[in-house]
Amino acid sequence: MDLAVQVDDRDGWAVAHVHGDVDMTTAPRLREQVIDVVVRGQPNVVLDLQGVDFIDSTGLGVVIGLLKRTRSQGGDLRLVSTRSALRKVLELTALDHALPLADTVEAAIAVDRPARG
Amino acid sequence: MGRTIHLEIPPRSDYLALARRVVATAASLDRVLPDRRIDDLSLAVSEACANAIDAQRSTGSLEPVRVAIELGRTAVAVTITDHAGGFSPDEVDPLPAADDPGRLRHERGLGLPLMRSLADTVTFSATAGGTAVRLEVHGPTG
Repeated sequence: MDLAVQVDDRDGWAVAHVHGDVDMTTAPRLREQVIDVVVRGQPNVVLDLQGVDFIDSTGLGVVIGLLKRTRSQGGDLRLVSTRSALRKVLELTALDHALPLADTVEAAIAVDRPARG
Repeated sequence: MGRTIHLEIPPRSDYLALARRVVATAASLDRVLPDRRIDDLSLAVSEACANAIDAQRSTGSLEPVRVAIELGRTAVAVTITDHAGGFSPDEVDPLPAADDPGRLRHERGLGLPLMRSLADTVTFSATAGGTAVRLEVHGPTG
């Protein structure tokens, strides 16, 4: 399935709703669309991945890059999904600490910012 | 192993989704694997095909990437063969642990560790023109 990204605003965050497969072909498009949001001055981004059927290592790499990009601009990146396949892939790649999953967009926004040293 | 299904894809990433779907559909034919393990196999195959495509892109080879799906009574094995010369999986750096602050430096190189965690066995072998990766996933009785 192809990738679709739709961005809306909620409580001072940009929420990117992602649908489809995030793989070697489509992941660069996800990166471009989210970086576009950051460049326009919104570094607080929620990636709603509830509609993502598949993500590969390229997709995970893009998510890591977006996390670093948003934080370097003083913002943050939060992930939303209740899907067990995504949780499993994050655990297998040891990314579950850096990229915790929230069940809903509201819960993702409500998380306190991590202390930074 | 029983029957084998052969697929060849052009070395382009827009064919990855097709390879995943063929593997998932073939693996579900005999109900040897539960859905969760079919997902594991599909992702592992997608990673192996992505590596093959990347490798062929770097060598300029336009030969197709071959995907052979062996349907056994207790397991499904998929062999992905490229035409990119050769490759040694031992030369790939291991990932740092989850609590390692350096973890986020690794935006690439996740594919091989993923394949190794998802498949029950991963075997690399040299072929005449490249590398073959065999990914095997066992059913509950395998």
